[in-house]
Amino acid sequence: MIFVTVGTSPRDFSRLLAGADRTLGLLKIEASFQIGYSHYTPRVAVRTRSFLTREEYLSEISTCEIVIAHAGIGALLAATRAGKGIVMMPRLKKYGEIDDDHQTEMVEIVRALEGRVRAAVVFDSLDLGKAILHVQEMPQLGTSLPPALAFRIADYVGSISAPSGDGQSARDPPHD
Amino acid sequence: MTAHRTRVSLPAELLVYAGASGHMEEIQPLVDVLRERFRLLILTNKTDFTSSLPHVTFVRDFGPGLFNQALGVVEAAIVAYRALSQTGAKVVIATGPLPGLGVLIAARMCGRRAVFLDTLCRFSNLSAPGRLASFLAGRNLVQWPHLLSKAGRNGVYWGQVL
Repeated sequence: MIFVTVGTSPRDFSRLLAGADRTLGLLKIEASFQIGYSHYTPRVAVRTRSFLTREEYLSEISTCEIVIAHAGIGALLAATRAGKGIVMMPRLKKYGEIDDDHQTEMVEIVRALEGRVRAAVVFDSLDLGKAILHVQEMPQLGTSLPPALAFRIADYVGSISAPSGDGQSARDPPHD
Repeated sequence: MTAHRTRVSLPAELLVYAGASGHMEEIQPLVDVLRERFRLLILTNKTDFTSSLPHVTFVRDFGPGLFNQALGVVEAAIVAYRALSQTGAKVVIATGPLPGLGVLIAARMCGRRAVFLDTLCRFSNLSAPGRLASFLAGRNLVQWPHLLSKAGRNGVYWGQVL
């Protein structure tokens, strides 16, 4: 099972939906689609919904093998925390799919996170099939733990909100 | 169309602005850790936010464009100011979307300490709120070490949400 999602953007992303529909039909893989505001109706879908609650979204991810999504950080994080692989295609400004091309930075992000994510980025929906096979071959991820960043922030908040002090550590900027 | 849905327990120690969509995914593991140590109040734009944590949801849609986005910042500042006044939270944590700037402004107006977390999805440069946050937050957290030089004197790199 593959979960295809385009997020909650108000813009159409039929380019991804049509590409995934065609590719998954050729590969004979079952898929569930979340299509947002897009107009395309997938033919191979076992389920098609416009929007999902967070619980439904995480449930779809936990039960699928691979996620196909727009190149949003939320999709990457949710798939990775569930130990799933993800193939992403950026929304592009030239097709009216987004206001700017920041999603194209996902290529560099995935490269920088190599070994910590099972992810691939494509710009052409014709490359989806190859990317799915590539992600399937990537090694499984270990257990997802709370990031060290969370504990650093908690320690910092504790240090500046402690009732015993005035909340101003020596390294804090004066306006903090 | 306005909906301020409020579930607030008093007092809170820490006000967390969580945004929606990807920003919500980014802040979630931090909330999971912070809630073990602090009483939290969550501000969010996510309309189906269902956490058991106390939260305020504000979902006014001003539409696209710079002026409308500025209105969104003002609304976030008002909502955050009220929340800070009611709960007495001493510290504010805000994430990437533009209304996060409004939350930081409210923190300054109330004399509270603030931390801004820029998004992991900006790799080549800080987000627009991230660039402005250095003037408003005591700690401007970047998630890529190479962006530290752009984060102002309050910039720090403490790792990533992943």
